Amino acid sequence: MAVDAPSIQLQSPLLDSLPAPELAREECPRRARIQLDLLLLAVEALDLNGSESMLAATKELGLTEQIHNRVHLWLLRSTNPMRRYSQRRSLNFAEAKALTVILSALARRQTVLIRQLMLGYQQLSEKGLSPDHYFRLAEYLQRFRSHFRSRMNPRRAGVIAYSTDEKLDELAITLLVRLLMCTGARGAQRLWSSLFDGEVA
Amino acid sequence: MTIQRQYTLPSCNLVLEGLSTDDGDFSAPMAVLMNAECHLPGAAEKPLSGGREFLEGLVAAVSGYAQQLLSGIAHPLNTEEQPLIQLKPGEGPYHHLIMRAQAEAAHDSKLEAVSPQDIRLSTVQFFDLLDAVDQFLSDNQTLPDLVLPLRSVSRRYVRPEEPVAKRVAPAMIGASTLAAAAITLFFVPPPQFEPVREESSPAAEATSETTTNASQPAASDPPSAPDASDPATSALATPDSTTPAPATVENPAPEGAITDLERLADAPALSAAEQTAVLETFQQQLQQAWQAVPPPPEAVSYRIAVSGQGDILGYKYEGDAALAYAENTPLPGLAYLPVDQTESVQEPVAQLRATFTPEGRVQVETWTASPTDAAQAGGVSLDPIVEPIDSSSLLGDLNENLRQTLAESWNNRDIDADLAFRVRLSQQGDIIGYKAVDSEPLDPSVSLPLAALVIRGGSQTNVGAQADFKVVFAEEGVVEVSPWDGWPD
Repeated sequence: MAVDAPSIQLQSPLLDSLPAPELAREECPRRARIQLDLLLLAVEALDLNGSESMLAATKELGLTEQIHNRVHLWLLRSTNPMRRYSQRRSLNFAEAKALTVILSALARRQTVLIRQLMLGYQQLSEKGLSPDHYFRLAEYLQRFRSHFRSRMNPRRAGVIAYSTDEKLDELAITLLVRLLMCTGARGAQRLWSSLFDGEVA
Repeated sequence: MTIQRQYTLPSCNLVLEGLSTDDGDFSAPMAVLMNAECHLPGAAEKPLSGGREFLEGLVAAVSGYAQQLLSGIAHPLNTEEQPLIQLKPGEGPYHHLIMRAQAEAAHDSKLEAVSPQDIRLSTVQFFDLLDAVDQFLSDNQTLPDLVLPLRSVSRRYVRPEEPVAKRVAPAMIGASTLAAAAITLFFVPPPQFEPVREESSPAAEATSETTTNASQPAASDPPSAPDASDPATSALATPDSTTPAPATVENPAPEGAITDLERLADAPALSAAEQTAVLETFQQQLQQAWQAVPPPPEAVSYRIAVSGQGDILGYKYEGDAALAYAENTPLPGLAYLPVDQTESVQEPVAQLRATFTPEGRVQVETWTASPTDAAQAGGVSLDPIVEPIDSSSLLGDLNENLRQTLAESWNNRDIDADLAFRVRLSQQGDIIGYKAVDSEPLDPSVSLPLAALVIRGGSQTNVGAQADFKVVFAEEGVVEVSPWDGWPD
């Protein structure tokens, strides 16, 4: 069979379900880049094998077109301006969509754990106890704090705001709630839409 | 045909009852909603229920609130009227679902009509509610006409993170700084461009020489007359030196070497005493500044006008050789170049003659019309005393005072030979004037205190009793003072 036309790059149908936002330029705003990276950081704190799971999910979901390899994934995550080795490149929509889909898939896998942690956190706060009384939650918070501190540039104003353990724990819980929202039937779409809140015309 | 659909999650159960349009087909989608019930076990005892309006309100509120949780930015509701169902964040991990009492329900049971229902949901409970709603929305077999596209919040609804005052501050600071700078610079005068003045040409000097006689027509010529070699201009010039003017013009001096004395025509003369003082300092100044390399072929002399401070205000050559040698003397370097050459000088000046000898000596003397007349070097003319002091005791006191004063103020006592002066004192002991006894020019390296001690203007008045004394600065470094006319008997 003769091939006259160049082969059309088939995009994963997962990405098609995420509509492109009405932005002047086709690159993700600053808040979206921060949000995606922090959520991935939270996934890593939940799952010890998080970074490997991300790469595996890339292959399973057929997103190697958008995320080639480990280094590329690291480059994409480093578009977060809070990062120690922040990249000055932008994050285009296809790459951001791939990250969103991966996040949603990983969050769904961790649904049980996330629900347990949320329920535990709720019970602890009802009794006025600190998160240390629930081992799994304390572990998650501790891991998140160390990940955050080792990877974020402590001189950035956005990072200085999270200088204390309490602030970082608050951030970790907020991210946990967001991950929970991502586990739903329309998690990826909701996350994608939320990335551009306050940015579209 | 009645259809019931259930979306069940651990802490939420959404039950929809409705009718399909097609009676026979089981797979036909539910098209009309009859009743919707939302069971929230653990949160609300009674299920929330309502019709289509309730379901739409629930879907919109839950969806919007979920986006708010995800992004942290509040989603405004599109409806203008009070929504049926609202979700608000509560304390800690809780959320509040507030359901306004429906009009129909109010008719049925008046007790429940007034207060809205407030259900506290935990995050997990809210998520189950959200997932039930999402599953219903994704299910195209149930009410396919009810869709809720997800929309990001527009920029317009987002309150800026920083207050207006804070955002405007940098612009205001910039603007006010600019205004302040503008006001400040308003008072600074714009810089004025001064073109470089042309150095005076020889013709100008030739012309300006005539200026001692103001009635000469050439005096009105501008100093920078360009026709240097024009014989007509030269003919007009009548310098008071012995050299004829044409020779001067043919032998042009280096540019800018000679300053005209025209401006000094009206200047008043310094008093004799001041002139003497100036003369002494000026001679030293010249001697130090002159290298005598190469030495002049013959003694060259210049007429110089010096201000009271010792600045050369103008000078001119006397003779051809002087003109040719002018550039080798320190005079061009020391001459004060006036800003406005046409303006006449009003400050008192001393007219001096400086002679540079081939031996490397500089002799400065008061200028007189003829060089042969320069007999007053090193002193001032002393008129005969009108009222001499005869008192022996007064003379003795004056003598002693003068000797002490001179001895105290004579610092550098290194002289080669005895120097004798005739010094005139007033009755009060002030030195009115003095004159060197022998008219030998003073060695410039010798500094004598007499010039500094003269009372300025004192010689112009010969009022009061006066007396002359003979002062000898001896080679040994001693000052000897005695009355000029000897001690009275």
